[in-house]
Amino acid sequence: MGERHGDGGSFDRRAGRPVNGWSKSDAATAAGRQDVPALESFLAAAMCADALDPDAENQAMAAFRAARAAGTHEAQTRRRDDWRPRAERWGGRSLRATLAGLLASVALGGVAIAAIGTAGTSGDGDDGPRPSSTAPDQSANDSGGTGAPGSTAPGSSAPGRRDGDTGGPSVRPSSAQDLEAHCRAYDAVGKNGEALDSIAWKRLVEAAGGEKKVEKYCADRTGQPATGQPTTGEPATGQPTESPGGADSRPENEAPAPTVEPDPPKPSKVPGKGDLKDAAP
Amino acid sequence: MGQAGQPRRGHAADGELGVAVARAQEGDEAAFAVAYRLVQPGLLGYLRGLVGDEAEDVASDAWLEIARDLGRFRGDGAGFRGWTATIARNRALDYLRRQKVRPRASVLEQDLLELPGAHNTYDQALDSISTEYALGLIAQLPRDQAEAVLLRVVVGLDGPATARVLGKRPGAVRTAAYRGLKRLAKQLGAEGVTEEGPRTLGESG
Repeated sequence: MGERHGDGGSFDRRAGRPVNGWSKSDAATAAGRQDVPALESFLAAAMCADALDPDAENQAMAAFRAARAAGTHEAQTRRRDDWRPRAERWGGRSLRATLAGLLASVALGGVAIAAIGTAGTSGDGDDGPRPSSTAPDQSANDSGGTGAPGSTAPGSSAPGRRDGDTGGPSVRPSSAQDLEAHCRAYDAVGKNGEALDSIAWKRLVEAAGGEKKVEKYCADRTGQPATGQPTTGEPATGQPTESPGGADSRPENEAPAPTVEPDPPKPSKVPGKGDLKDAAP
Repeated sequence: MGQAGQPRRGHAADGELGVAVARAQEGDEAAFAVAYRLVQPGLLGYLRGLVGDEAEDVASDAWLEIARDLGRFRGDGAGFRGWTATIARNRALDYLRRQKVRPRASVLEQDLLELPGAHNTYDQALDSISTEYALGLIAQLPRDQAEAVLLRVVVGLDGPATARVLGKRPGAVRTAAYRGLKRLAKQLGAEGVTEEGPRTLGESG
């Protein structure tokens, strides 16, 4: 309460004397003008008018010394202790890394899309487990292969595709599947190759080794079913083993002690992702 | 809102405070005392609005925690105000919960009694303008408005920091502070007018 009266310089808040140069009539005048800034000044002065209690200060100082002696000042920063401006909190570097990751994923995504068109040309003819042409298959395959992540983070698609570009000889028979599909389409349009989508036709021709051979090629293929069956049966996406959430996904306030950096994006466990994200914190 | 030139808003001392806090975190005791003296008045003013006469005790509790957790804090002077205000608020809410008092009712009622009413003469109104009076005025505001006003005006937080302390959206807090101040101004203005004529105050409820 107001028991402790000024030990100098301040005034008894009960006396109603002008507060920090503010008299009540000033306040009333200000209020009469609806002068909010002036009112704010008055309120601030009035509410802070009390003298500081030396006992309370000593108590706080003692607590400070005790904590310093006990080493509690080394404690880690929790999210709620981090009052740095937002930009600083997330770290300029981190922001840049995030942007770079985003950019990379866009660029590599573009490469992957481009690869859809060209993959067929690289796989010359022989069927089977080769060129893994389609992007979605490939990324599924990759995420299965690295035994990893829910592949949610924006950057995560990037590494997968990159692997594919460097010629990851995925074991998947996707092109065989594609070719069979092309064959069926070829049948469907009455064996008139020109009616097919030109890329599909081109691929078919290449696979068969010439326009003439397409028909036989397709007959062979559709006759002998399914060298590489299981596009559908492949549950690559079902993999996500170690939940990347962990400590990160906790309610920020309760987390006992993460680290100084407030857990920006997601995981650091995943190897593939790491090169994009780990540069951050 | 948002007037940059306010002496209290955004505290001119925030730079000094930031330096003091940084040094205190390195173990400098004198610096901690400086930080205390810079922060405590506003903190106390805010707590008075929350818990009335218990403000001093609650502030003491808060400072124990502040002193203990100082090493965890990251930020500048303004950030330190926000951080300490959050701690103080939590202590205050703990206190209110423990007391099982109706949140501000005791403070509120008491202060309403002390508030110059419609029948006060202007002189009485003049005399009572002080902390108690300001407190009484603020106590009449809805709680969200009162807290927003106190944090912004008395503690000196900016809008986003106020919102963070209160756990609300900045827009909501801005609106609350604005409404609260408008209401205060209206009230104060209405009472000031008694000087000029015998007008009855309809506003003081």
